[in-house]
Parts: sequence; structure tokens; C-alpha cells
Amino acid sequence: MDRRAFHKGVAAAALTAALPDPALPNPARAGYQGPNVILVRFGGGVRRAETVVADTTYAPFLVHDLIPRGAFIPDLTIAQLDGVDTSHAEGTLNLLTGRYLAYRDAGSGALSDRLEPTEPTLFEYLRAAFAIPPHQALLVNGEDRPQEEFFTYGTHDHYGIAVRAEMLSLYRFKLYKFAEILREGRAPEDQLVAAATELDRLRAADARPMAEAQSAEVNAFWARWRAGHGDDGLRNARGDRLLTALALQAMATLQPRLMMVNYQDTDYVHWGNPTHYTRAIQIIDDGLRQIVAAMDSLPFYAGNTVIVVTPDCGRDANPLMGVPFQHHFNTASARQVWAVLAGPRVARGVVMDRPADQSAIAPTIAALMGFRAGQSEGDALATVLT
Amino acid sequence: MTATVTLAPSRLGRMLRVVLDLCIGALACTTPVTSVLALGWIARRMAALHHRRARPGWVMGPRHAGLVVRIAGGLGANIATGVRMLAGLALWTLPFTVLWLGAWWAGWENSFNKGYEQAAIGPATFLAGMLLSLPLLTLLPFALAHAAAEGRLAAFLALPRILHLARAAGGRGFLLALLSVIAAIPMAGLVALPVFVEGIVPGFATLPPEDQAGWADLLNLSAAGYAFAALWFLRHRAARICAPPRKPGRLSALWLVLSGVVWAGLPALMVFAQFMNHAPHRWISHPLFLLPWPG
Repeated sequence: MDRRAFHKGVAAAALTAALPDPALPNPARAGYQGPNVILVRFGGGVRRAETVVADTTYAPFLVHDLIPRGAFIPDLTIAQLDGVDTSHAEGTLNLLTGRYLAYRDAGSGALSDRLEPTEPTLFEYLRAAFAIPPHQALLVNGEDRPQEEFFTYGTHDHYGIAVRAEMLSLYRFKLYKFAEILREGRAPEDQLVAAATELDRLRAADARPMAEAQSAEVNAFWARWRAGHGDDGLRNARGDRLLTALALQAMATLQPRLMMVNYQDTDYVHWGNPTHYTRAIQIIDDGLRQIVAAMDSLPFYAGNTVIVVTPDCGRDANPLMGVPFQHHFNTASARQVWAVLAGPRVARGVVMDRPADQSAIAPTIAALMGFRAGQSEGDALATVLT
Repeated sequence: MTATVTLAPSRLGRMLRVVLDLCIGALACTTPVTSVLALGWIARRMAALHHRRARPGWVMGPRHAGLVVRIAGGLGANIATGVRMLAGLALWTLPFTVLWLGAWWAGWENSFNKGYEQAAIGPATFLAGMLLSLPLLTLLPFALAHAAAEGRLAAFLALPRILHLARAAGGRGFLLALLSVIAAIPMAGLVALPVFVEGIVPGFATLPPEDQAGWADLLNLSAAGYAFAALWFLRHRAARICAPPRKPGRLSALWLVLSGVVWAGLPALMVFAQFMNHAPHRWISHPLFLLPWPG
């Protein structure tokens, strides 16, 4: 039995049989009560050794606090399939769609990939199943990977922009900010011209036929952000700390039901400083600590929120290289990831003793939230759910 | 009265000699310390071409010398010459290689910390190093040829003479620059090759460490062998260009400028190699401008 056949097994059918038909996303049901899910991409790309191995970890909160609170899947793998790249956009879309290769090129450049999902993402499934406004289905994205700004909806006929997610990122803030500067018209002429030019450039980055507008709630979020941080971009948190700040403020104000936080700065190790990798892991770990603290303390989230932490991809363990942390070449180590789930409906203190596949994350989140990720290839991880 | 009979080596003998030199040179270039020996041997070879002397030995000295020199004089001369050449080459190249090293480290450090306020420092420093490198790399083969022929460190500082040699080289100097940058392409490829090892060697990830080390040794030897062979060819060519002395042609300045443009390919290749497989020391040392060790 191959992997795909295995994933069509009995367990998945039993777990999802009672859920609505994915081909019929409407009418959405009102009154979603939870649980909320916060999906944290522990990225971009980490090895098990520096994250979940207790003796060598740089993520003490993850290992010593979060894992004991929930279920740990130490042997999650990215399947070795033709055309599957162990990289960030690909891994993120694997997590969001529960499928491999569920994307297509949307204008990649020489040094940057630009993909768009061709199957529904978790956000689309959720909003198709439940009457949840877009600002409660949130992606939080970093400033270095603008190509991931466009994962808010895919090209599937039955889903798409009508059930999209919202995005929080500096890219989106700048869209808001420059539009506001022009609307206000108070700035000097040269700054207005510059703002118009910049706004055009930002809008041109979204080559899709239907550009998404930011909702009133997200615009209000950015108004508060701008009031607190100004226009110059020099006062807000930077790097992955910015993602934590955005996520925390979103939890306090927008109250997303499903939020994905796309940490990314471990990827800096490509350029040769191994400490960037380990420092980025520490920063993400501290972000996790703050998000979990908010989960535990905010009334909207306390006791009703599952956190799912998993990398987009692994990294190499190549003894022939001085800095053995690349990940683009489908090596064994780059396909070895892990996952941690903690919260209601998740078994506590469980370590899954058999391998699982990355495509299982999306249907597991779907099962937790009570909808069906019908186009996913993976099975929900029944053994970690209660 | 004694008669000296010189026996010209046969073609087969010369070929075997070349193969032996390549093997010894390749082995010497596998480590940074022993590569000094190869650097010295190549410089002595250049001097031998210039002065029309016999090829230098790797270990043994001249036949007519005393016992100690006869047994190990070649080794001693290679080490002494190698150290001298290394010092001279470092003098020429450290001004820009240190800038590259610092720019890369500090630039990415700043980028990691999102230091927008200082974002220009890394790229500007690298660009400064690159602009400084182009004239120095253009003149470097001639500085080395001159220093090898003179056999003294101070010859690296004879700028008017070096500039004269470079100008006199004309189009042949440009061709040498072009060949050098072309020769650097496989060097960059060999640096990047380990990234793909799991695709090249089936089951590499599950091999025992000693087997993985065996592949590493093979790769290192291959890179060292290529570096030595390429350098032998390029330095031989540089020595040929510089001897006998010529007068600069009318287009000498143009050829120098074109050579500088071509040499820009080297830092570009180094950047590519560092992106693929980073090592800080590879900013400082490259077979084309410092040690013949591929790193």
C-alpha cells in the first residue's frame, strides 16, 4: 500500500463521515463556538535537533512547557514525491491544504518562488463551513517573504476569495498606510507623490485577477497600529518579534478563530551565520511562550484554544558542509519535521510512537474545528485527539 | 677532465613527470598548510621558466649540492618560496578580502536584526571591496610572475614594474584574466557540490560516518587536484607572458580595463559559492589569489 492509498484509510472515513460535503461550502453555519486554533509555523525550516530534542534544543519553552501540555508527533515527515520541494511556501501550503503540490506558479522570479494554492486552504474550509468573518481567519506574515502574502485564498472553483482569510503583515500595513496618507492629503506634495508611487508598487505585487480588500475590522486594526507605531516603520518590533506582536494584538482585538503565524527567520542561516539559526529559534520560542500566555489569559481563548506548532520543512544535516543547514534539495533531514498540539480535544502528555505525514496536519485541524478538509490527502491524527 | 652528458627525457618520461607533479601538487593542496608547498613549487616553476632553468623538485635539491640540500633542498626551497609568495599575495589581497568578509558577516547580521537604519553598510562595504579588488586582481598575476622571477618579497611592491608588465601583456593579459575566471567556475561548482551529495550518492544520509568521511576526502582531493592543475596552467601562462619583457602596445590601457571587467566575474562566482555552501575562510583565500587550497 502506498502513502496515498494509506491515507484513504478507514480512520479518516470514520473521523470525518459526519462532516458536511466540501463541495457544498454554503450555507455556512452560524454560531461557531470553538475551539479556536492557532497554527504556528516554526520556520522557515528547522531541524529536530535544535528544536525538539531535549539535549540540544534552543527552544526551552517548546520542549519543557508546551510539549508536556499536549501531544507530540516527533516523526512527522514530508513525503518524498517527484516535484515536492522542501521549502517554505511549499511546506506552508502543504500545511494549509493537506495536500502536496496543491499550488501553481503565479509568476515566480529567478530568486523567489511565487505560488498560489490550487486547493482550498483551511481558512476557506472554515469560512465555508461556518459564518465566520474574514478577520477571524487570519494569516500573520513576515516582511521577508512577500510571496506568502497571497495564501489567503486559492483558485479552487468552490472556494476562493469569497471565503478568504485576512492577512496581517507589514505589506498590508503599508497598503493601509499609504492609502490613508493619500486620503488625508495633509502631507507635503513630495510625500504624497511618493506615497502614491509606493501604493501603486504594492498593489502591483498582487498579480491575481481579484485583489482582496482589507476588511473594516482589519483597517481599524491598522489604525490602532499606526497610532501606536507611526509611519516610519522604525518603532515596531522587527523580524519574527514583529509576528509575535501582530499575533498578540490580533488575539486581543480581532479574536481570530483560526490564525496561522508564519515565523521565518531561522532561514537566515542560508547566508552562513549559524547563530542566526539558533537565535531565530530562541526568538520563535519566546514568541510561542507569549502566544500561549495570551491563550491562557484572554477570556476569548482560555480553555477553548488549540495551539498547533510545526515547521514548514526541515533542514539538511550534511557532514560535507561547514554550515549544514540548507533545505532546498529534498534531503532526508529536510523532510524530517515534527508537530506539537496542545489544548482541548487534544490528548495530554502523548508522544506519537509511529510516523505521520505532513499532509495530516490540515485534516487534524479540520477535525478539531468540526469541518472537513475534503481535498486533503492526509488522515486526521486520530490517536492524538480525544 | 670530466665530460657532462645531459640526457633529454623521453616524451613518456615527461608525461610521467607531469602526472607525478600533478599527484603531488593535488595532495599538497588538500590542506591549507601543505598548500604553501604547492604555492612555492608553482612560483619556483614560474621562475624556472623565466630564467630558463630546470624544473624544480618537490623534495630533493640540485644534484651538485651538498648532501642535506640534495636530500631536502627542494622541500626547503618550496616552503621558503611558498611562505614568501603567501605573504606577498596576502599583502595584495587582504585589503579587499577582509572587506568582503566583514561586509558579508556584518551585512547579514544587520539584516537578521532588521537594522533598516544601517541597511546600506553591508552592500556598500562589499561593493567597496569589489571595486578595490578589480585593479588588484588585474595586476596580481603579473605581480606574482615578477616576484617569482625576482625571488624576493619586495618585488610585490614594485608597482611601476608590475604595471609595466601588465600593460605590456596587452590582449594576452585580457585572455589570461578570461581564462582565470573561466577556471574559477568549476571551483565554485566544486564548493557547491556537497549540497547535492544525497542526490549524487544514493543512501548517503544513512552511510556510516567513516563512509561519509570517505566521500568528503574524495571531494576534497578532486577539488585540490583541479585547483592545482588550473593554477599550474594559469601561472605558467602568466610567466610566459612576462618573459621576455615587451613594450606596452597602444591599446594597453584598454586591455587593462577590459581585464578588470572580466575579473568582476570572480567575486560574483565567490558570492554564488558562498550562498550555496558558506565558509568564512573562503572570502579570504581562493586558489586564484591566495593559497591553492580549495577550502
